[in-house]
Amino acid sequence: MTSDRIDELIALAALGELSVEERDELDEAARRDQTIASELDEALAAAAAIQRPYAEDPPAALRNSVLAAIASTAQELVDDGGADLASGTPHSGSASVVSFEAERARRRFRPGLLAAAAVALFFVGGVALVATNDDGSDPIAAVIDAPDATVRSLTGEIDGITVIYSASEGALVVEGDGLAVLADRATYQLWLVGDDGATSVGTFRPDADGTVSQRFGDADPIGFVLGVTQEPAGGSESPTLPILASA
Amino acid sequence: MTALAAVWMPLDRAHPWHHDAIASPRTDHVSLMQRVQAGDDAAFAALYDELAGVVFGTVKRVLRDPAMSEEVTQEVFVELWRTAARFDPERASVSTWAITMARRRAVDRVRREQSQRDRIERSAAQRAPEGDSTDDTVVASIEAERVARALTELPDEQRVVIEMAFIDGDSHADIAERLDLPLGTVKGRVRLGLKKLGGKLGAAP
Repeated sequence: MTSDRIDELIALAALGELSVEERDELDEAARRDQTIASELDEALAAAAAIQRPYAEDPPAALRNSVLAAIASTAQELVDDGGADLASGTPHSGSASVVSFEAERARRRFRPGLLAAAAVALFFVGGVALVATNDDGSDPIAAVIDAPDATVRSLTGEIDGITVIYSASEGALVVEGDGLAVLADRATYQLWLVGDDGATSVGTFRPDADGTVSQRFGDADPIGFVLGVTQEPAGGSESPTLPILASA
Repeated sequence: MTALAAVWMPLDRAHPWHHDAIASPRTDHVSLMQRVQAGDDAAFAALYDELAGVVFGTVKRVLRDPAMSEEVTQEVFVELWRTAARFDPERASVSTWAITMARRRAVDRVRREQSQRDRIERSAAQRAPEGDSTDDTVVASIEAERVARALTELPDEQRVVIEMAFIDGDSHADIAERLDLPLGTVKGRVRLGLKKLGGKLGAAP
């Protein structure tokens, strides 16, 4: 990467205008080169110093609103490979690509999830989650093991979510590990984001171990960006930003 | 030196609270942040009180709209709470982290909510008239003076771009359009200006 490109990315970082791809590019460069990391830190500190004196108190009511919001917001408990760079942008981690075979293998070694998924019938976000297929087979495994199954790994402020889709099954499965455990009043919600906006796929909540495995029917993600947000329990009509993970 | 010590040492001993009062804000923020990282919501409330002004101010300069600025300010603090474990005091001060996050979120909101053209028009309509500068809202402080002094030392072409970006809250596309400059030139001037300011301002709390 040229020094001109580094300078351009640092300028955009200070301006808060990095795209996701540019952010990853800069973070990677900064991880490899301490000089770049130091230059980035110094530029961000200078930009912040210019802005700091122009403080303006927000309305007093905002304080209670913020404190109420964090009361239902789980903190990330696990640092996935190092503290955040000073970009103000939590990095996406390095697990953007997942071997599908590895995902299948990992899934097979989690029989507890299969049992848990087969316990009950739920309606989440308007999408029926079936406990078993008509033939008694596990509906989640049916998607994962389908010959046409494809997998996408979502990255962003939270990592560890993969989505497996099978057109022949007409369903997708959300799998997650190491997710923040949410308060009772909160849930994750999966969206299909296209040119016309976001359509809810449904909501999901990790268990006490931060693990989730959930099937959603009647959702075709082909041609859409997948996004996950945190929403109040029961889900929302439209996504509450930020998008925590996407692919 | 002896006279100075004679003045200050008794003061510290006689008024132990005085030392706390002049403690580095950076130290205090880091201490609060460490408690926030441990899930201490009382520490978060204290940190909110410390940073709400700079976060809201940063957001509002970009968005202009007060109601939208409140929403984004809340998003910033929720993100700060959620991602507290990622904060590294070796890389940045807490306020730098928060301001950088605030700026990024405000820019993201602009991108989502309106076209650049709409924003420029609204910005022009709401911008204070000439002579009624944003200096009126500046908190009188040593840091404000330090920033102003450092800015005057920049070449005009860099100072103007830096002020438009970080005081007026303009995007580099806005600046390029208003000054009729190529985008790359604006980014280059921002980078050069920040590089020159870095040594003077980088140690701010």
